Amino acid sequence: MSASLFMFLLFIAITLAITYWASKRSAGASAYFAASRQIKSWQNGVAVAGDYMSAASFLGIAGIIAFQGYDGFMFSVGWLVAYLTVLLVIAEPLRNAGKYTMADVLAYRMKPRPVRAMAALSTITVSTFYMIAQMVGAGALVALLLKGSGIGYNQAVIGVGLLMIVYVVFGGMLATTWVQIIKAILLMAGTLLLSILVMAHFHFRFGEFFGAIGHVSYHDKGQEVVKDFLQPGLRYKPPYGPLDLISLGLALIFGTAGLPHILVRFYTVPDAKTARHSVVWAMALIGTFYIMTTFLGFGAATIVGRDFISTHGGTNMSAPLLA
Amino acid sequence: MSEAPQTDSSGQTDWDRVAASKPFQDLISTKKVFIIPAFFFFVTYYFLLPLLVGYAPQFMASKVWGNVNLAYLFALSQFFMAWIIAALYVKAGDNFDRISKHIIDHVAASDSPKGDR
Repeated sequence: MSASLFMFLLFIAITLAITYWASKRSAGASAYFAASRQIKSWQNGVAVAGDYMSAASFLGIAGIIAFQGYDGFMFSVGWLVAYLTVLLVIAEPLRNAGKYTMADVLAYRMKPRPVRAMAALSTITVSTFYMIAQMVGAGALVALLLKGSGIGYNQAVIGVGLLMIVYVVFGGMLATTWVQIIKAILLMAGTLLLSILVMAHFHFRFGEFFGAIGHVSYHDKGQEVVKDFLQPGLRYKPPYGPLDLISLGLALIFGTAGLPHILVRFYTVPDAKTARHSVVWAMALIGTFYIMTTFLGFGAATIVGRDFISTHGGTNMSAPLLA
Repeated sequence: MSEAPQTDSSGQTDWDRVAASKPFQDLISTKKVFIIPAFFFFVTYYFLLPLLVGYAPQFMASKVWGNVNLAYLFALSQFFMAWIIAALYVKAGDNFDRISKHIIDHVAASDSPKGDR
């Protein structure tokens, strides 16, 4: 058994143990849906960060930066700034309402039936699209991890899905909070290590690193192209590029405030002050993480190269291949 | 749910009375004084980035340090802008907590003993 496979199985074992522990402690609706509202601010903050820095960011953003340079970094920026919307207008009122879901909060002030119907529709829509992306990412990673063991991509996706259901159904919010905390810590540690390794490749000289980004070469339709990956415009080209950027910005900074899996975390803390502090914890982690996507993405572009990534699994595999 | 609002003789709940009270109105306006300008500032600062990158790409591509250009530095500055606003808000938030605790204590004191939470 390889070391990576062992680590993977260990992670599953630990998280299942947490789920079992949480299921023993959960009694009643408040315990199950809101972890008894006893989550501390740093715990909630790290869990929000863990929820947020998912496969989409680790794999997706690194991939976009590796392929399209600066324009990919625009995603990173929006993803952090979005938390100001959450911090200033969403987190505290949501906590103060003392309910379990967004629909409960809105139904409190408006006609309950249509509000609940819309909230359910929106939650399912957002979650479905999110889940598809996560499953693709998780499946790809697990398949890469278990290569040679006979477990293919399809089985990996089904397995990951089953695990998620077990965590949530049996452990409730308490278990998912701790699973997210562990995930966030592992992800931060991994990203930090990779960033350091990338800088080591450039002898810890930022000038050298950014210099290398200045002339990234790859093959496009059989032609060798050399581009400055720090220049904007590789993804969003005129005439509609600027409009695309603005639309992306709107989606990022206001969309985050509507993510069900983020909002639900604000019901797990004891009061508004804790909710506020947990957003700040989350912002510290998320900001650091997205700044490090510079190293992951540009590192993959310069060290691994776009050509190699294209032939070894496509954009989403940029970060794993860099590793 | 379980916390049904308690009404007094005049048919008003604690909530109605607190919502109409001067200290509560002050709390709301104190919050607005911070939150509204902060919100508009960060939205403006954030959208300057896509606007400049989109409509003034030549300007944003100008090199500042080595190969590092204005576009990257401005993007990076967004992270620090977000952190600074968050820090300021936490500081302001302590003040909100103090005022709201004061209001709650006041209501609890003037209330019958059973009126907890």
